[in-house]
Amino acid sequence: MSPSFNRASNATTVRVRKGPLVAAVLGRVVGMLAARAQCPIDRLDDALLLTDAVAAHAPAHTLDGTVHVDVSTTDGGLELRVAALTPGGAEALLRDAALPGVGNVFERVADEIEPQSGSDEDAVVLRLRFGT
Amino acid sequence: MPDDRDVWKREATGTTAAERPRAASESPSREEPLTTDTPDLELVLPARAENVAVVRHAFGGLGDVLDVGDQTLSDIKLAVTEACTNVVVHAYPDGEGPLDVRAIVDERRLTVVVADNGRGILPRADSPGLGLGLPLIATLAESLELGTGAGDETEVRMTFTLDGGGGDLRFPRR
Repeated sequence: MSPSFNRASNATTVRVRKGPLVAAVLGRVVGMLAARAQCPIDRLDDALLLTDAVAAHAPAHTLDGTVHVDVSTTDGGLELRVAALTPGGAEALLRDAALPGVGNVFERVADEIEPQSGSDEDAVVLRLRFGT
Repeated sequence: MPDDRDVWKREATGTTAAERPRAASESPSREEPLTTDTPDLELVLPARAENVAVVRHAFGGLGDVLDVGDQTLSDIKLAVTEACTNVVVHAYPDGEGPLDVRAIVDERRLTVVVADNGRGILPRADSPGLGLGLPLIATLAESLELGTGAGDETEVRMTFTLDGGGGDLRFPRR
């Protein structure tokens, strides 16, 4: 089974190759997992904003055209790890999410953003907390 | 890149006999490699009951994008749900493991592979199921194949003919 499986976690891995599928599938998976984790409705909207931004911009920065997202939830939050990005792709993805007059979607919505750079690939971790 | 996990034993295409008949007689055979494709969609989740709904919901998203008729989409979701439920119920009697669902879309066809790292397809005298899952999938899908991949995963592969626009991603319905 190609993606690694962490027995101890409830992590879900989503890999989507064809662009039009990314938003539709990722949004549904994230929405369902977030709802199950008792995500408040306003933060659910925020989570879907994040997935829409990932779906819009991540395909341009993937190593092989496949958008790879690891989704995990805790009692108090949601984490998306957008992986298998090209070297430099993490910063590029964050840069692309800037909207004129609005600012950067990731920075405005996520509580934490952690770009990760490796020798072979980059990743971006987006964390959303549900707490009031 | 070729994926030798997709080397399959072609089994009873379109027909099955019992609920997830993980029969000992169905020993892995590699004589008939099938065409391999990089999946357009892959989900890997813990094989838990609540995650079956996540998979079903994801395929609803697939149906939003592909030009698929409501009846066909219902058939796809039901068949995938049955296959995933079989993994949850039968694959890991002593614990938990991964549920891997892959979908490959081409112009006229959707191929769905549901895989697990469980104990393989074996008969269960104490099966909690009604024995209807695989026959139902065989009825709903154009073809059904049971196989074992190179990594010893148990795989259920089903194909569906896409109606309407035929799943052409260049022309989404909305």
